Amino acid sequence: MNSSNTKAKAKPGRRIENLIWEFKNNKQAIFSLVYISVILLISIFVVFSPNDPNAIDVTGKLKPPSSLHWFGTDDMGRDYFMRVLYGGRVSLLVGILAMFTSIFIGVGAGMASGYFGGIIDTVLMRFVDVLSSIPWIIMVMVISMVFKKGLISLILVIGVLGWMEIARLIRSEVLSVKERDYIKYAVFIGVNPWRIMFTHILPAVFPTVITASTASIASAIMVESALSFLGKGVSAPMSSWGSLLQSSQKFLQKAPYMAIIPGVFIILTVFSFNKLGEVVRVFAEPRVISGEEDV
Amino acid sequence: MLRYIVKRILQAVPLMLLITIICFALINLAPYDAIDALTTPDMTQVEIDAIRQEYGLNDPVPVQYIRWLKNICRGEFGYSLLSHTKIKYDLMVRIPATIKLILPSYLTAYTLAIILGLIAGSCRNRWQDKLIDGMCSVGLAVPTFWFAMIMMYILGYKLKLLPFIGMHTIGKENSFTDYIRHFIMPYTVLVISFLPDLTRYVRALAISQLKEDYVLVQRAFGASKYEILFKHVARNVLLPLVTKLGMALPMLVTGAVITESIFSWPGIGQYFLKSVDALDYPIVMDILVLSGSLVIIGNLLSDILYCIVDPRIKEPG
Amino acid sequence: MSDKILEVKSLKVFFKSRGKLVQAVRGINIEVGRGEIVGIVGESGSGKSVAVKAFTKLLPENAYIDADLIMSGGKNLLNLSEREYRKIRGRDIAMIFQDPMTSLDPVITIGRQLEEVIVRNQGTGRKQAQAKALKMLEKVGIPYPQRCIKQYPHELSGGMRQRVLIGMALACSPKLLIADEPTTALDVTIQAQILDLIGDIVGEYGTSVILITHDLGVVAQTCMRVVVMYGGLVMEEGTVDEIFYTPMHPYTMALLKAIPSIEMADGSRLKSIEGFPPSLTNPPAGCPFADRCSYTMDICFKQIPDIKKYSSTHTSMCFLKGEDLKAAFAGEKYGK
Repeated sequence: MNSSNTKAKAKPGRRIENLIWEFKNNKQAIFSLVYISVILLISIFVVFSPNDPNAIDVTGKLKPPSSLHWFGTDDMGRDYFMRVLYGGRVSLLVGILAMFTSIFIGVGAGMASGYFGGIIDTVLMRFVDVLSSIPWIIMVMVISMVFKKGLISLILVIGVLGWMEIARLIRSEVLSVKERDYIKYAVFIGVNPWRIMFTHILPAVFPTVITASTASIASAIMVESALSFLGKGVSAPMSSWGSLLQSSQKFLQKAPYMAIIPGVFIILTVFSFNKLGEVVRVFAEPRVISGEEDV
Repeated sequence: MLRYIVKRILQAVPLMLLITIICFALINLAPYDAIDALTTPDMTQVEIDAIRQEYGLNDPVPVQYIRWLKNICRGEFGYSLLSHTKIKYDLMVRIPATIKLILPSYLTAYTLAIILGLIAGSCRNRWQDKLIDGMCSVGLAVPTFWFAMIMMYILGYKLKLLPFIGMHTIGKENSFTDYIRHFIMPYTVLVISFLPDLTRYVRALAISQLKEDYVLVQRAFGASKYEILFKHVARNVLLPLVTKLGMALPMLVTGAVITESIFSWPGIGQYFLKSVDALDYPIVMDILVLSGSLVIIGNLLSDILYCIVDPRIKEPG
Repeated sequence: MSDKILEVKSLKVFFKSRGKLVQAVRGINIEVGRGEIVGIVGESGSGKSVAVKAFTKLLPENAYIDADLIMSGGKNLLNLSEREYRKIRGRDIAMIFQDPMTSLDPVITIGRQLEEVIVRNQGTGRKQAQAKALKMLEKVGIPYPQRCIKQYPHELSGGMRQRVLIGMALACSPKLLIADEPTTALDVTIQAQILDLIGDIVGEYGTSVILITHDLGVVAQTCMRVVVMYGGLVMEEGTVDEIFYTPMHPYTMALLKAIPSIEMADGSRLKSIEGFPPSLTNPPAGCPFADRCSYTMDICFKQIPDIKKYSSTHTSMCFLKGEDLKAAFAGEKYGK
């Protein structure tokens, strides 16, 4: 109760101020923000580049990085720089869309569970328990056996896999928001529950949703790369960072750069999204102020 | 105490049943006929029908489910679609191989995480903490398989120090040094993959414990930082960590799927991936049931452990 | 007051938080004599708790202490290293805190926690420490010390835990005991018992006590002298009689009017103080109470008033003259 009161008191102005302070004083956060902006812009505009990622050059196979091919060439002589950029497009797309799927299911289930309580809560939460009890890799593999391969089903599989933690978070947040006086009052005067959910509860849990979504993109990118690496993700001719790594396995001895480069991109991207998530938590929970005690 | 344990076990039973029902439903949804596991292409239709009758595949689904459940409980896991061998025998070879790899890795990571987490938590915002926490941030972003590939490249191809395929060199199955040489790389990869998450968990626990009033009180009574850390904080941090240990039980089976497949370690993870690729449904479902049950048993164990270790929980509700 | 246990001159405490400076204590002087019980009264955020934690350097790492002098038992504490400070804590200055529920380590028995403190500060062996722990528990009125020693904190009530903590504090016979709102978290009846216990112990051991509270009733019952703090400054200081019968500061008066009393049953209402305490990030240039004071003048907003002396023990920080204050307060009714 106490913490929800202080949360309610924190004005949006103060929150933004905190967020800006956090960015100014955290070099890793600035780096993450810049990196993500750049990689997103590149992913959007790379299609306008005259270079074709699928242009085959049989005379220049597995050439190491040079001034002509910055990241070298792959086993079919394709420019690896362009392949990595196009791969990033797919990885980010899958990450972001899977995040939306997870957020959509997670927020829906979490709100329903927290707001209505009772039997709905029990059933939903039991379901979440069972689903999250099965190790994700087993789960993904089993689902991939039943579904057809493809970008959409990949996004759905990853999205459906990642909503449980979000649902738990949102549920506990809704439970505390529900205790606030203005919501109790709205319930008391008989406002329609859907109206309360959308006009009062959703805005109140919104900061938590933002935090959860940055973390969710990071984990979706990780899962996608693992799946593609195991050959259950995107399939040729489309490629993602994960599938580039998979095909690089065969040439590890001859062309190690083919394995190193996409991996570095995955690390930077996942690290940056995670870091942003941590920083944005300051916005979501004004009392989480890194490293200092409140007076 | 005993009553609590019995109660928790009773609570776990319906969950286990639910998991088996889901698995069985998936088997029945999947596009395959269980008869394929028992027949060979040269059998006549009459023979096939006879086998179908013998194995009760004409019975209604609930009856089949109960029989399947009974078999699982008796340790009869059925037959592989592909090799027609008993899955039980495969598992009996595969599971120990995986445990031999994961148990040492997890225990190493666990011990290291306690040390690093306590250091980071107690030196909050100083260089030690920044270093450890920074490494964890990066570590969380490193895909296991990528790290494994880089290790393979450096230690295997470049320096030619270590072998990176399988558990033994053919012909040296009884050599311990040969085993260790095969073991080092997957072990390191697993330790590194378990470490960041565990360390962060310990760090967060340590930080929250250090904020507790009793720490201030101990300082007010002249205790030094180290006394507080080792006599009080460490104890309070270790309690919830016991829970983590129980929860790690299912990892003994499924914790190294990717690592095993990269290093061709003949464990359960590699077996699982092969079965998925071959659409060998019975094996996949068995592993699904196995890992789900281990999760529930692990949770149960950690609850019971917690209740034994923590003096505050004598007779919980 | 020749025999001073604690002497603090112009103590300032800052917190650095996210690039901002919070001025929790803005220059206060405090003295405590041998065997004296001094009450520090103030609202939350007045800096009272921060001030006493500064004496023992128990503040978080983002706190900065600045003072002309912190003397205790003839030792200057200002320039001590953390190691030397550790020897002061517990032995010279002991402290008990607001919430006895969380003040003890939940996973170690009461006995071991007491022994640990005794062994550390008195250098005795385990056996002697155990005997001493039993004796202390008996002294602070624990009904079954033999059993208590084997119990975990959660098995005791709040009042019992606070007794254990007092026992722990006194086990090392400190010269000064700082009690930071020791009864706030307890029931009223238990509160009185704990206050009595503190009073008794001071009589027996000759320990000096600083009692921090927001409750003037507690002060009247236990203390000899009172320091009234507000906005990081000492507003008024005096003996209990001086503060209660001839208050010389509008803030003290406002606090007094906020005490409920039996004589007030005639229908007059309890007076709460309107408004909020001042911000510590941007403290006002003038008297911190000016915003909420009913006797404000222009000058109050411009500068901090000087300290006026009314007797050898009674000082106050207000621009109003003594006679004016007396006249203004003459009509005020409050439970004395």
